[in-house]
Amino acid sequence: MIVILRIYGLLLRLYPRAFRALYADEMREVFASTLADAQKRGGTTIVMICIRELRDLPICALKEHRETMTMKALILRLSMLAIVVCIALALPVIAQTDDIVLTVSLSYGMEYLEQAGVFDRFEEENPGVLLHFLYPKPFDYYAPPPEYDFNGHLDGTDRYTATADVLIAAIGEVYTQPITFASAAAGYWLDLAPLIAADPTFDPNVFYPAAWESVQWNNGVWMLPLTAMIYVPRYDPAVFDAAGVPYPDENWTLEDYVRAIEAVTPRDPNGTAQNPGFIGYNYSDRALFYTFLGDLADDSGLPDYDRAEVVGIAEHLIPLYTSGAIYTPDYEYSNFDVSDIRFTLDRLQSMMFDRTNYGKSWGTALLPGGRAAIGVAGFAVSSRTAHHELAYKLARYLNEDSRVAGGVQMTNAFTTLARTSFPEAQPIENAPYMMGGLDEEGQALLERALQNAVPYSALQHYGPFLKAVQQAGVTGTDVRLMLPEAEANARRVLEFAADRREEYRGPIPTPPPPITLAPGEVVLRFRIETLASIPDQDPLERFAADFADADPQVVQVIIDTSFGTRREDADCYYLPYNAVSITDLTEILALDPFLSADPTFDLDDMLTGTLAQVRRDDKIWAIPLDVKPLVLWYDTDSLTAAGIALPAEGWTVDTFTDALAQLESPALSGTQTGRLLLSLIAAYGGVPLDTRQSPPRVDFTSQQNVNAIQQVLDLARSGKIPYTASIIMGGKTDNKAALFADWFMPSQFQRPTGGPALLPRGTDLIPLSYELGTAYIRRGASSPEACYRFITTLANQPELLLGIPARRSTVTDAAQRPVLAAFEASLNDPDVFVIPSSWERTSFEALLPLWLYRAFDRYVLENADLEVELAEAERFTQEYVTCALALPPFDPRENSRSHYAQVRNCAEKVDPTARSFFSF
Amino acid sequence: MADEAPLTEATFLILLCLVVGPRHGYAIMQEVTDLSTGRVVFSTGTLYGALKRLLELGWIERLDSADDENTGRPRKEYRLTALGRHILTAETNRLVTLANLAQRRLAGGEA
Repeated sequence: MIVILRIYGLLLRLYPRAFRALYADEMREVFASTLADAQKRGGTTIVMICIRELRDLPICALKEHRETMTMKALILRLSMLAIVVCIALALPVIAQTDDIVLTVSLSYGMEYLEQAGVFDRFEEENPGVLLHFLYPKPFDYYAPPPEYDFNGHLDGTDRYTATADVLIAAIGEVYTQPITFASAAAGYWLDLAPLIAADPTFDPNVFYPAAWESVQWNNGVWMLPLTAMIYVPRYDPAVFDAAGVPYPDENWTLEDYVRAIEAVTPRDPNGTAQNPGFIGYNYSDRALFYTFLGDLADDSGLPDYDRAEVVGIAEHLIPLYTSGAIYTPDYEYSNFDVSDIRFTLDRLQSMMFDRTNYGKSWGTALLPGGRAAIGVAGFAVSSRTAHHELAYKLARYLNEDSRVAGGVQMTNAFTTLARTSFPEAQPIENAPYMMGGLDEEGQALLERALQNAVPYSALQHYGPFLKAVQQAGVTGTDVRLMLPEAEANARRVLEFAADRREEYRGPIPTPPPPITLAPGEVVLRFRIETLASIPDQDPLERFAADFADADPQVVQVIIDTSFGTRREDADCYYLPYNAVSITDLTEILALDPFLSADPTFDLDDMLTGTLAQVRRDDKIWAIPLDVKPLVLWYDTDSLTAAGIALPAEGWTVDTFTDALAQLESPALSGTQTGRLLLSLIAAYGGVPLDTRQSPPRVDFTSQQNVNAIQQVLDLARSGKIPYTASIIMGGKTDNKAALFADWFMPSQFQRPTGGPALLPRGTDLIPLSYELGTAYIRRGASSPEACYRFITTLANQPELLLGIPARRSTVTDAAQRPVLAAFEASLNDPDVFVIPSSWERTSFEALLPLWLYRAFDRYVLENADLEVELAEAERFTQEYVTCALALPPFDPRENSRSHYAQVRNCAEKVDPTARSFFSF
Repeated sequence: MADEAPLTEATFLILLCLVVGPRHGYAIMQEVTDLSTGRVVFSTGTLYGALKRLLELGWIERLDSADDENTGRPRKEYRLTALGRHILTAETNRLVTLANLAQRRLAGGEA
């Protein structure tokens, strides 16, 4: 196919330039569609089409030239025509021997499988078949649930299934490339049933029954399941005890559920739920209601809500929806307090994870009848594929490799396998992301659930039903009026979906041919690691393409942002932090020779102090590109309404204290709780861990430090600063807070738009927390000079950098200037206290604050005695430091895992309970 | 006048398939084959030569529809203009008149 398309592209050159400019792209696409269609009908049809095109196209092209062509041009064109005729004679042979390219859409982060050669065997066993891989990010082809946005759901599925022949997909999961009743009815997915029927080696018994049943409905098989997500009831026994409610078990009736939900829901004096008493994630509540109601389809498979028991259940549930006691998270932002969940249907393994890691003792049960809810993920085939049998064969191949299962699990945390075994007894433990952690009891529960879960396929028509019940609850409408309407809607939706089958859908696009490099030309691979995903990669891609167009040597720059690829495979790379101190210098190039040969790069233009941070052994190892201070974003209206002066120039710790006192709780939330707390403690004059010294000074018990810690933690205890355990894992965000501490960079969090301002300054210390984004050139890069040119050109593009540009002259954004000036002044102030980076540190440094954080947790969450906790934390930390200092010093050239193992041993030796720190 | 001249079968079929709404190139190609029960099969060269001339005559117009997911470019669609519809109607009337005439003659009646 690729060769034929290339020849067609050559033929198009016979047309006048003006004609080509207008129609060539379109003609190429139409020809590709024609070929793809023909391929489904067989090789002879392709040959006939090629002959027809070759006969017509030159004649049509000459017709277009008729009026304007000179004799010379005519001779030239006729010569080309002669060449074309020769090619035409060879084309039938080419058409039959051409390679078939199958495109596979895996997920962002699964690139390592391709690098490990996991797919090579398929190509070896299928000569003439080439695999091409795509790695979209989770929301690149987002399809909202059909109950909320029917057309959006189908459009999203259409976009996704247009990209590849074989695709990773999920059933029974809201967020992950879902296959739904609607998208299957609309014909976006290939029904695998006929292919399976024709495959004598296919054995459905390798799948757990609930997983296998989940992928089959309307006589079709829509996916080969590889991993499974099991949802069971989880409850907080302490809350149930306090409410005097027995624990759920598999004999519970709907009335038992309703009673328990009512009893455990926290309510305000008006009876409105402050937080839901029950949450069903990912359609799992449908499985719960199924255990009471059974099938909602009539004999012909159409929705049937006109039954007494359906109405009866709806009436039971409505008061729960009305008061907000029951909540079904939809695809929009879910505004409830996740730290106060009392009763829910959630993934079994996440409960075990919580139990193991946070000491949270969740109770677990099965749904009525010993059932559970299930979602499955695996591989499906796009209906657009021209190669049904091959695509199916590939989906099977992918389904039978435990390493692929590991990759699929990575896209869906807390999953188990949908298969009971893999061929050739592949060692399952080889899969890198297999999530274990189940104790014996949990494993037994999982086995039962996998045998007996309510398959997704049984839940047809539950979506519109529950949406109607929910709406009736919220709007106060009589459900008896809403259900007939919902049933009619559900039927209409099926018709709409069926109408979509009639749409024209083009073929899977042919992947671009690999670039052939002339001597001296290079392709640069530039890797970008980020703190969060890049909000919009397109401008960066455009910049890279423009750079390649303009550069004399570089023909392409591949921007690699995936966590599934390796830094070692890049020529040059960007890190959102400064890793010079922890990088093996034999892996990267010193940049001094490039900088001294470049008269355009003005070192004095760099933010003061940043170059010093990328020096080691008197050499510069990275180019600082941007700086991301931890700043305060604020809601201008809330501050103004409370009569608080905006912190434009930055608050002092006193004005900050006053402001927090006047603001309603929660007043200050953020994404980096640990660093925020340490910054505030410094502003209040406390430095419990002084990392300015080596070894760090540990002082958790001096009165000054205890006072500062207490002042800050009391803000958390009073609710001014939302707090959750394990603050090392991130932060607790609350979009109701007027102040929000976050990096000065695009954020995935909903945060106020005022500001930003630097964190409050103390009387003695100016706390500063920031990350310096840096770019490196790897030793062995295909062209270090080209890398240098790319990095320095990128440094001049402030709009492409995530934080504030590290080159002062490139700061063009007026909003950034004052923050940058304040930041630079603070950085060079003798009283500055820089909170250590979370990234730029050794394992020794990373473990250093854990006991301190645990003391914080115990004081805030468990009302423990602060001084006792801090004294214990200080003792452990000091012993840990002593132990770690006796180890050989950290050497970046050594395996960092061995350093980690050594310091971890130290931590566990001084405090055996520290083991809980390491299970995440 | 253009609307008095007979249309080629290819032109007639292209205009006819655009009566129900805008179509992109490949859909026109397929629909023309269907309308002619497989008798008229365009190559891309013939199709785009014809489309170009119809555009120049102002009988059809070219529009950008939603971006093609495969290419990222807006997809081009072709729509019948008022003039094109008039031409097609006139041609259809002409063909009907001719057909009636032929039937009457063949049946032995007067023209």
